[in-house]
Amino acid sequence: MVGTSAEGARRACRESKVLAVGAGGIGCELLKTLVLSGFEDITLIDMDTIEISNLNRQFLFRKKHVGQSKAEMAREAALKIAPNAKINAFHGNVKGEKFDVDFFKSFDVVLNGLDNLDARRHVNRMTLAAGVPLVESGTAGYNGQVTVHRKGETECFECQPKPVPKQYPVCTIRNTPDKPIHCIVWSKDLLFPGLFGEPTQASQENGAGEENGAGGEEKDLEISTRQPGQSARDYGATVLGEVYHDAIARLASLEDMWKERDPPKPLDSSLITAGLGKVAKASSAGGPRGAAGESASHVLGLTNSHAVWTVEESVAVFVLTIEILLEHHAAKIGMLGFDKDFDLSVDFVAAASNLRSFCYGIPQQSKFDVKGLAGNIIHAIATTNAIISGLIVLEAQKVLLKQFSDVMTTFVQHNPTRGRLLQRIPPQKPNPKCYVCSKAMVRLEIDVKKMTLGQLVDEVLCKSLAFKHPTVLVGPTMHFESGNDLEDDEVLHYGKQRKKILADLPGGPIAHNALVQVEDYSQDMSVEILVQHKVFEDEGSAEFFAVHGEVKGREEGEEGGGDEEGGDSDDDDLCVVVAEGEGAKRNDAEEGEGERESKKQKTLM
Amino acid sequence: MESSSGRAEEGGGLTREEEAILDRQIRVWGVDTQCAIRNAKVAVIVLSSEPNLSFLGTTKEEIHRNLVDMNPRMAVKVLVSSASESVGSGANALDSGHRGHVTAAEVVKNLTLAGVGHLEVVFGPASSLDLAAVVSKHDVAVVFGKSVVGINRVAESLISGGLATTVFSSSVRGGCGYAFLRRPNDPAFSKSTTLAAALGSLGLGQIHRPRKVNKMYFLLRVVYAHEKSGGGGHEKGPSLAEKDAILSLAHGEIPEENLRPPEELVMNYLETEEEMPAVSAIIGGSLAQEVIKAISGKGELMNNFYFFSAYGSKDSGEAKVEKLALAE
Repeated sequence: MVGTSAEGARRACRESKVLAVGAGGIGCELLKTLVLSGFEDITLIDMDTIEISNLNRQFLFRKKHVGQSKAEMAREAALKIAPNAKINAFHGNVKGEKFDVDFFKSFDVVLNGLDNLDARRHVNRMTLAAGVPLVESGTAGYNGQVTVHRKGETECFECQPKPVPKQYPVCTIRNTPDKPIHCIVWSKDLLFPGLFGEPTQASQENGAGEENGAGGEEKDLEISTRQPGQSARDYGATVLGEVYHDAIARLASLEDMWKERDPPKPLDSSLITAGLGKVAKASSAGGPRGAAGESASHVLGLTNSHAVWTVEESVAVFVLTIEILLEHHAAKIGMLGFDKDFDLSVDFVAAASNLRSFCYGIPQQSKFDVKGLAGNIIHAIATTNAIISGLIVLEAQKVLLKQFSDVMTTFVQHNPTRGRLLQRIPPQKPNPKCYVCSKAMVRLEIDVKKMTLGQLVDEVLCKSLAFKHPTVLVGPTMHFESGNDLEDDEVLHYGKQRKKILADLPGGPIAHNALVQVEDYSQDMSVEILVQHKVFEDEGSAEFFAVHGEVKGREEGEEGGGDEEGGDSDDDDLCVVVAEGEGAKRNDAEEGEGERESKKQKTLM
Repeated sequence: MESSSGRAEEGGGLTREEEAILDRQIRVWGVDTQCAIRNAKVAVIVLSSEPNLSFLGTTKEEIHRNLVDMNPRMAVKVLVSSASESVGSGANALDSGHRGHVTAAEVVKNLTLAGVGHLEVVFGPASSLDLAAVVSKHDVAVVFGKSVVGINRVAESLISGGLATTVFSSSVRGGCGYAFLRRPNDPAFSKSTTLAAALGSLGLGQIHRPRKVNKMYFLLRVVYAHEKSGGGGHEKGPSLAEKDAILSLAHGEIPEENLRPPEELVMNYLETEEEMPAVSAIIGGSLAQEVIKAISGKGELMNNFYFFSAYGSKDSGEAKVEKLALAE
């Protein structure tokens, strides 16, 4: 920064009003660096509460704060450092109605320390709409990055494709897994909710509860309900036999399916007996079986979470987890979902996935690794977050001093490359193909004779294109509106509209070559979508539409390690089971990307 | 002020609580590194009579309380040399507009969060600090100060006294900061290249250096020469009032005009002895990570200088590692 002094930078901080979004790993470090740097008017938003696993890096929090609001506790701690600072803390979702465009306009700069793509895209749109510069950041393990986005001058956050959650076809998950992750997803998204919770959309449509399908595929899991008077342990053993012996044997008997691969092998009864023996032994030893916070693995003495259990041990954990859940968490049965911080659910998914892996000849995993994969745990350390917080503040100071020519995108790395621990490149110009900041037209390939308006809204507009409250128009015909200000009769009307097939919509069907106008007043967004009819042949695929434009990119793990693709996050969903005929196809991200220098750098989200 | 309220015993695996709290970083560096960190002994020595560790506290009692609160499993000592025992107002870090020793605070915070088992934080002026009396033997020591001469003296005392085999020396002034690593028993590092030697005990021509060295290096050479000639305070290093003397010295010390530090960089160094918090966060984060590399033996250790300046020259904004060594 030419002509900058420490005092000049400090004065700029003192006189500015900043919004910090996120009070987690990056957010705690950022808030500390902001108040030390002299920022006196700070607004902080975070919807999360503090968890025990945050304490290795979110230094403003202590064990006694677990369960409390991150935003409020961070404010309290920061005021101890700088009592004269004005810090407004909001415990809420940045997508909430009160954080509208006018709210964003009231700040000189917005600083992102977020952990999920959806919120990042929303803040990107709000800052574009408000004309406020955005300093965006992300970390994963040793790596991190800071980027400055200014409307019309630099690329926006969505100008480049971003990694999105990996999705797996249900047929692979349900019938032909060949990787540990396939078995983990099956256990987490199909078996666990099938037994203990509300089945996911995927499991409802494709998993437990349906009759066997014809055509050579195993369509369901036949799981008995617990009989009156049946002990929880006996029920667990029954489920075990049905899932790992009966269902596997039935599947293995479908010869057409196994012409090019080995069929799975049902779990041998001797292994089941040996596993049940371990449960009986633990019980007779008088251990703290089923105490409220006790997990099955610990009752069984399996305290090393990095060890891979034997098959007998997995059998024991599987049965004992069911027993403890049914006996001690009965009130939650039917409502449970996988929670990486609920040890019983981790135990169950670890045991269930390893037993399935065993049947399919797939390497088994430690509980530690299963937890990481099932919970999509992003690796995170304090040092990277500290470095990133410093870089955010330096870039914010340049923006506030209007030294835009000095603004840089910076990448943090563990080991030096050509002597540099920080790699810097100038910010990129806006991408003319970006539908968000350049208003480029989006081309959408869908089967207009199969897709409903509801699917268009939910899967394409909200999930893939990140609209919050989309309005759908074809010519003068309003097909759909959403938002909190609709009248009851409008809600009813649009609820009926959602069920209609696109090509059958009255007044202006969404057919081949239809030009659809999508608007979202909450994000000040408007996009034109050219619809092209396409029949998707592969019903087993996770993709049933294609968006062309700079929307979203490669799937996680396509480039580099998947663990380097997330933000400092505890919450993003990595493992998504997509029902056949459902799900989002990535855009053709390769279009025009070759020339883009910044593509050479890995983008963290 | 001493505590070993938590478990910091040697050896053994991690407890269930440690696994829960440290889960996200164990996934980064593994259980073996986490155990190595837990068993490591680290000293952070701040060459100042004022025990102001910025956001971690402004008295030794407050600093101790905060560190134990942050990591109850850590055995921690906070020591203030007797000459400065009474200093420390207990006022808030920013009450007087003085932010304290922010970079040292960053390193201490990062190492505490990482799960270091034994940490000693020592405050005292370089001139009167009796290291042997206050510091026990450590795996790694990090020395912070404002005077290059003072930092060098303490770092070399640690090594010659066998108090640490890996010593980082670091300083941040305004938007400029550096770190220097001494590891004389490591074959990858020069045995004889002390901070002082690298900065000017010998002529520039006798230093092996990369073709393009960060301008901060030449700035530090001039500052060191200035301090050796009697400039700068004992602890605070040179001030803005000494700018002309330093610029004049630059011409004598560095004959090649293209190597001399830009005047703006010199200004930024001299402008204030206060540490720019954003720069402290960057250097403190990087330095703590280097300490973890030294403890774990994983990763490429900085060899041997690390420079960062927020502004003032073309290479500002780069965190540059440069090897500047004497011929053995």
